[in-house]
Amino acid sequence: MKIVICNGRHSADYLIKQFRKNKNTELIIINDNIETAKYISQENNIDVYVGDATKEYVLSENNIDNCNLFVALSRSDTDNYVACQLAKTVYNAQKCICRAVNPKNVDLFKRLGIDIVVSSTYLLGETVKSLISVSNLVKSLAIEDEKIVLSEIVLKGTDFICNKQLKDINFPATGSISCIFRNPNVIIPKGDTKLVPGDKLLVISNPKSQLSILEFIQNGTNKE
Amino acid sequence: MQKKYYILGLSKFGSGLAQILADSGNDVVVIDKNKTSFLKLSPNFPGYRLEGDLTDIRFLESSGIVDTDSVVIATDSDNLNIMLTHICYKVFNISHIFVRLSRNDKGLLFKDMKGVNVINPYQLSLNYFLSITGEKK
Repeated sequence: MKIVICNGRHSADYLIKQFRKNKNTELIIINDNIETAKYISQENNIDVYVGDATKEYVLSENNIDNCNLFVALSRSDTDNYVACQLAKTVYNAQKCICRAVNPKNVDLFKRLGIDIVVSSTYLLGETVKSLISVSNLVKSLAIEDEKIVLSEIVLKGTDFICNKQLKDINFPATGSISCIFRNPNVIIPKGDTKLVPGDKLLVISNPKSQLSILEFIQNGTNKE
Repeated sequence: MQKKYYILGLSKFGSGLAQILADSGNDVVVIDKNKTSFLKLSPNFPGYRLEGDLTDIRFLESSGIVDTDSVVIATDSDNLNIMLTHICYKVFNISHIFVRLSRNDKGLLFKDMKGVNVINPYQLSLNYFLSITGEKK
């Protein structure tokens, strides 16, 4: 394995320690800051080339040809982008990982041909999104002094009950799909009704089983 | 014939060119991140001035650049110029792209890109010297 790591301080240091665990890895380290280069070199007892990884002659001097992995970690998205493009198009790097400070650049750089773009802000956003969308629950309404809840759920293609007929789903006894809104139609479900992605389900249940029904809809587990 | 030009980066080259193109009747939009850069243009510059961050794709999208046929890329950073060239070519499909690069090696990243023209001051100075002295390469 030939791995090239450009710029970065703590991120580079961390990756070097990780990659070092595998004895068959050849590491090439490039950093444009002499102080950072010294730090990484002392910390890991490794040679660090001081230079600008967006310059063709720097990459050429380090023989990065055909490397398995090229990682660009500087704080400038533009510099990382150019370094990765050079590594890929001129030196035939097999995989490039580009760090992006601006999360908007993740999709852009992928579109422009970089294999993997990592942005900590983007990842943070995705984590938050996945935490708050543990369910597809859109709205929930309690009626009859909170003895009954009506949940509005939008079906995703990955949901367990999606693309199945109602009669083939062993829906929990504590709730029932009372109505399906499939734009522009309102469907009163019967046994042969097939659920498709984008369907908005109105599910009636008692408040206690609301979460377990959501879980059943997503992955088919029934705790009742 | 009147053409539409976007000029990204008001370097001496960018601002001088913008002034000439606009004065001769072309539809010119200049973009730079520093307000003070616009002072390089004459006060009655007939083009459109736009202040913004060229590294921000959303800003570029909202600038209307997608409708232009020609763009001149002349910021003071070679790497930014390269990235902007790729964006103009691959994302906005602009047919005529002129990019100023100080370093001589980066034309490497525009291989097989039709309509991308590199303007390299080093190369131009070299060629000019050779032509006025009659020296051979």
